[in-house]
Amino acid sequence: MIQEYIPNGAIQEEELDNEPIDTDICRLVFRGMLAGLQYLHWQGVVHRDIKPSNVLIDENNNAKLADFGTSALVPPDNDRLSDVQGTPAF
Amino acid sequence: MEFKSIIGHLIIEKEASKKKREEMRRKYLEDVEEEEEEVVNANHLQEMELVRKSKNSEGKVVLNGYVLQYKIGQGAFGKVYLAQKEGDERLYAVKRVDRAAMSRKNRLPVRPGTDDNSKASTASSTSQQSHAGADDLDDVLREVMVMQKLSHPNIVKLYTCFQEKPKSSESSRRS
Repeated sequence: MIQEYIPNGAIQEEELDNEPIDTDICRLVFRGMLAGLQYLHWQGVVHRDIKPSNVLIDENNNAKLADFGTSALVPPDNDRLSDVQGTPAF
Repeated sequence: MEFKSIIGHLIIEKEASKKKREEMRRKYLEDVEEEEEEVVNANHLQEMELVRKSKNSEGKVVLNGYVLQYKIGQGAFGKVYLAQKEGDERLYAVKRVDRAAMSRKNRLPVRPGTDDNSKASTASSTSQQSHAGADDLDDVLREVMVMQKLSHPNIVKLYTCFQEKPKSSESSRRS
């Protein structure tokens, strides 16, 4: 799959453990994640594996959701999926 | 009576806000659609275009004109490479997935710690899980199908995809 390349890569969990991240950056990243998720859900897509390593951050601190390997399309008439996906602990 | 009228009012307000949300959503989707730049070429896929694989003068692997530079990520089923298109400055991420391994693993019942492949290969592949909306597609195809639908500034874009070997072969891979 040829995909968009985002130089900064994913949110690193180690980074989260160290120094605190600027609130404004946090806000921006979160807004991006939520906007992305909102769009996904409007499109009838559930990602099912949102975690730091699947959120890429570009040079302007925009969040980009990646890795749709566990995602699914939700049929409009169905509000629950029957299978379980995701990463343990997330 | 006053109470009743308040409830009536609330209901009307709720309806109004619902309509407003719908309106916002429609507008939003239209906006996003306009932003769409590169349309993914892959047609309604059962199968993808086979890749032209070669090596360039520096000995780097070239897949359909994308020169693989180095590995930038490692997932459960594949690797992600940094790639540059020949005659193009832009960089791309190439996700290479082992389809066979992936479909084996995803037949497993979910339990914590099934992340390593050894378990995947020893466990029986009889337990079927239904994937809503795309039951007969394998997971990679599903991923591609889903990503093709999507175009949004906060979602990683899928430009194109192709496979290295036909699906029937056990070791089929796609990038």
